[in-house]
Amino acid sequence: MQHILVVDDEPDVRDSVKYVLDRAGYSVRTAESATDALAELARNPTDLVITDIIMPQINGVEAIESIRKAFPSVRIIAISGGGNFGATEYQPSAITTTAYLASAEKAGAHLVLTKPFETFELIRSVEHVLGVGHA
Amino acid sequence: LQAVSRAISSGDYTRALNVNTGIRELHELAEDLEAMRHELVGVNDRLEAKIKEKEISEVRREELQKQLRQHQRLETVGTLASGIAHEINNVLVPIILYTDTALQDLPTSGAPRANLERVLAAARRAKDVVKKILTFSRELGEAKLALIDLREVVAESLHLFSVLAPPTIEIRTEIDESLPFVRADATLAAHLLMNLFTNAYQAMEGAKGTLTIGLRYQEHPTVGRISQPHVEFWVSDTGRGMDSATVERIFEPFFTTRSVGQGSGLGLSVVHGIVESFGATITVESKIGVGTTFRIFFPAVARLEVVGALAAPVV
Repeated sequence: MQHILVVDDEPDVRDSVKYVLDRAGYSVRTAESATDALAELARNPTDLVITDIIMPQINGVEAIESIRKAFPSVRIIAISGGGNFGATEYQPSAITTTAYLASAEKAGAHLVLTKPFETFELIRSVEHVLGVGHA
Repeated sequence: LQAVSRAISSGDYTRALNVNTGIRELHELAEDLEAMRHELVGVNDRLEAKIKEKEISEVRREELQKQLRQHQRLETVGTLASGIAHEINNVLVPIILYTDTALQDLPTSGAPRANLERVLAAARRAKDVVKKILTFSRELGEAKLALIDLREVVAESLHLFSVLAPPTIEIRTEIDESLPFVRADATLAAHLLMNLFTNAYQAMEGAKGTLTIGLRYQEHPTVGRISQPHVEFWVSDTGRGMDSATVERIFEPFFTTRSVGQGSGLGLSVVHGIVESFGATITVESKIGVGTTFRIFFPAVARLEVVGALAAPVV
């Protein structure tokens, strides 16, 4: 069974994503921040991280960079709902969904997904990144 | 001579002096006076021109200030709207995922399935509305700017629109035969044009009216902040027109003069977002009972740039 870690500061988002992926036969854990995610990755074997980009403290792009460095075999999907936040503590240089997702890809995400997504889009994306037939 | 001298001293410089006199000194005096009158007339004309120039620059300044105010307000609304859009996108994730999985567990018929299908459809509609808001706040991820000939986009959109428009509306075109290229996304430009055509047709409320569509090259435009060579596109309708308060808010999202259910109030916000993403400028003129004209000024691309771009396509 493959292990997925879902990182999002919105409980409803991470719970619903976990619910769908649990049903699809994956073993899913969740984390509410990038810091928690990195600790969780150190504790348990993980094949895939699905991470939000706009999060307080450490944003998703920085989290992806850290994961790529410390856990190079872990696959990554970045998700974002977009929005123009201007210069905030989140990601001052990236102000649009496209920019967020582009910087996530640049940081090493294997796939990017715009919120909200459909059930089949989520499952297909996970299958694609983990390699079809491995699920 | 005396009468004319008095007239000049009282400010009337229009009466010429009759210098036909025998006395030499008087004659010279009269000639001097006549020269003085000529000079005064010149000074007067120059002063009048200066005052007029000042009045024009005052009008221009006011127009620029108005544009700046509108721009600042739209920016604020845009930032606010996209913040809300982000929140709604997050809320839509559990709604879509849980509803969809619940549907997978339900029998193929029955009221719960039908109800949940409606929930899912509503969530997808909300997703589309959010997408429009993000377009307004310059979330134009798919915008691929390339050098395009606006005449082609206008011809295509017009063809589509003429099929949809009622026959009571007369469509006129005033299109220059040769135009420089502009930098834009052809699909988005077509979307923008269709929005403006639809808006114009709705302003005429299905009554008889004329829709005029124009394209021309403006080497030295004189509108607002635009001074570079531009390709001007305009859409004029003979509809009901708008007052200045409406004109000032026309590009704000959710601002609509139509009754509930007749329009989302997002069409012209999307138009504004697309225009900005092209680096173009949009203006509106309107008069109640006469009609409305939207003008878009696309910066013209110089011939030299076009040659370079053809060698290496712009993406």
